[in-house]
Amino acid sequence: MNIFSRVKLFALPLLLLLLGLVGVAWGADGAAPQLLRGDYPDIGISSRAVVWVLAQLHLFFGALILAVPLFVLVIEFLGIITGDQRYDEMAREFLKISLVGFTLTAIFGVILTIALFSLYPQLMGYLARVFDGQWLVYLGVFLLENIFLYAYYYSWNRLREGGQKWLHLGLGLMLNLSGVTIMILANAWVTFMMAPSGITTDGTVVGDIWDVMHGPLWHPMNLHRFIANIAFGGAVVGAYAAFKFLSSRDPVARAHYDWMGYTSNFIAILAFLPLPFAGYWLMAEIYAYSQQMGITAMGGILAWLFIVQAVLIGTILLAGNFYLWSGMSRSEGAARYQWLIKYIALVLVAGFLVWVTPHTLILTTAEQAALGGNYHKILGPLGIMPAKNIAVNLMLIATFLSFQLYRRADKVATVPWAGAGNALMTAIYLVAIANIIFVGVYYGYFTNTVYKVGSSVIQVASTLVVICSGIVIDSLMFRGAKKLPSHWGQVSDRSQYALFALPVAYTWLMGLMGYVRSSVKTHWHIYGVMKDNSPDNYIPTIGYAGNMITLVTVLFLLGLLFMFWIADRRIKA
Amino acid sequence: MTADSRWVFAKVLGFSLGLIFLFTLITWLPPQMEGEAPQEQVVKLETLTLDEFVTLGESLFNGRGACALCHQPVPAGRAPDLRKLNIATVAAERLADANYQGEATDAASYLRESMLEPGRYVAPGWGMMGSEGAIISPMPAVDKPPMSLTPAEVDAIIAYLLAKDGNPVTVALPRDEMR
Repeated sequence: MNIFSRVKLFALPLLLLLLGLVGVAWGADGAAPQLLRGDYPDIGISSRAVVWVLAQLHLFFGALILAVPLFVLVIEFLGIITGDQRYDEMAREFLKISLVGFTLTAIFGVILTIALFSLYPQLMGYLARVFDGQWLVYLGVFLLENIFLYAYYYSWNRLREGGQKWLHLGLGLMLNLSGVTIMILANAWVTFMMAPSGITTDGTVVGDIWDVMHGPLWHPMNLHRFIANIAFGGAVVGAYAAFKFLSSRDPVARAHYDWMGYTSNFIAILAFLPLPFAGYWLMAEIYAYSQQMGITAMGGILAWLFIVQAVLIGTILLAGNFYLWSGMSRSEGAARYQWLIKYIALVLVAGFLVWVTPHTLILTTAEQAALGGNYHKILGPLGIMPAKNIAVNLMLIATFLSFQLYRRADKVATVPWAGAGNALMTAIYLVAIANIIFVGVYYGYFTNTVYKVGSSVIQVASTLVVICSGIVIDSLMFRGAKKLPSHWGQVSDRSQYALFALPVAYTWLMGLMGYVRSSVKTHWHIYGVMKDNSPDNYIPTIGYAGNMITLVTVLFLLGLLFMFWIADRRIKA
Repeated sequence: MTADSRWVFAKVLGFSLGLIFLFTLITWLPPQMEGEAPQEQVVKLETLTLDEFVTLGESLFNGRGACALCHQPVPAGRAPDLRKLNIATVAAERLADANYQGEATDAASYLRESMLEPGRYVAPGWGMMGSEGAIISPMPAVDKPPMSLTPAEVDAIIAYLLAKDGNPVTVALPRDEMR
């Protein structure tokens, strides 16, 4: 065990325990403290900026080490089921890559904890008191996670044969369960600050720890972060595979890393497809909790941010699709589907353009007169949510079609009902697309708000029907299908850049969403209960946020390079 | 690291940093606005005129009261557009509605009741989704956090909503100190 591991195992639990006790001792009263400007320590630079950078770095690495063991477990399981040794080797390589990430997460966690308790002592003291013994549970689970991690990693060879492999898989399952539990516990602190529960309006705790944790946003946040982390983790290890692919001349190594990159992209895109729906649930719960908070996010000062979000998601979808289209060149059967790609691209670009259309414009009097009002007569309606809901659902369906064509490219169905199966699949696509457009236009523009919100549920259901029926139909139709030759390692170098675009865009997007999540609390530490009277109690401009996000993204990339370098040394050793 | 690897590394790094720079650039294209925290304001009651009271109501409506977030024109609006409607006429219609179960008797008391107990009467078509049977208002009570408006601040908003269409302002100027 190296020095980093020792730090992780002992320093963080001890520090958290100490600071937790300090916090409990600090806040002795019932109500939440109401702070004045002078109560905040002045360190000469923005305390918020310091916490912003540290929290975001901790979250990036935390997301990575939550996701990678999850798909390591699934890939190892696939290896057992199929008997294909390549799965087992790839699973171990994925885990090796992420190993240093555990240490980096813990190091940033320690520094973040020190920064929070030093810069916001009263707030942290109050939170420590509200969450009471939960801190100890967190520490216990953290220690368990580390024990399972080392047991899982170091027993890989020893527990390789026969029934022992299932025991090894059990260790991986425990590692994942403890990792997910840590995320869920930490999410409770964040959602408590956004939508507090289990306390009175002055902050006095009236419920038990479950009431405090079980706020209205907790489960939506858990689901959203869980799915997002998987997509993010897939994208990051995909970049590692792409780099190894590009820098290798050996055909065997290129074939291996091509396959690894494909698997990572598969995970990243598959997890990404349901992500907007989890995000929709989270936003719906935010609106249900507080209309004011919801509108601050979607229709107020932060509205422009969703235009930036559209650019990022457009980048992710275009990169993911481009990689799939390029990857089709591996298979000799792909020519059958090439003609469809231009139409998919058209839908993606059109959807992207609708999504980036702004609604609320800041105009001069002359501009307003030239435009004939606050909104453009033709483009204005494309700026509101119904248009964007149509766009995002069609983009997701188009991406799933790319995915489906890719999966079909190296196969020829041999079942007698293949023609009927294809006709059924086509009909499902057409009906879903028509339904999404009709529901979006009719309920979005010709009825009031109640139905406008409700219609998006029907659109989401249509998209999910396409995805689920596509998976079911294809798995039945291509059972025992004739396989066409595929040539791993012969994909174009250019396609690998899509695998770099994905983690960059994901990382930046996660940073942007962190800015929104924190900003919707406006001038509150704990919404409606404890005011933020610090010098940073305002929502910063989106340009400033962009600079901060870029800073943390670059720092994270540096951390990743360090992680990959260590992993490479381990693999060579 | 071989020469090949170094060249690949340089290209990948350039590509990634270029993309990051592009995303950063895009954030500087929209208008740059800060969301300021509401400022505490002390009003001198002895010299407060009705016009100042109405102006204060307007600033609360658009600022700390957060009314304008929802009460704006459709399709962005999620509640009746109060700045466009003549509230005295609307209040008379609502009070005459057979479904009205509240205790208000005029426009001012109707507005006060709507702000403090929004569930008393929900304007048709503006209830929360799925609440057609037992209508639930999506509007929070303005005297509770996060707005926490005082009675005098509620009256100032009522004064503004009545005055903006030339209706007589029937609320009295406050006697207690306002924030």
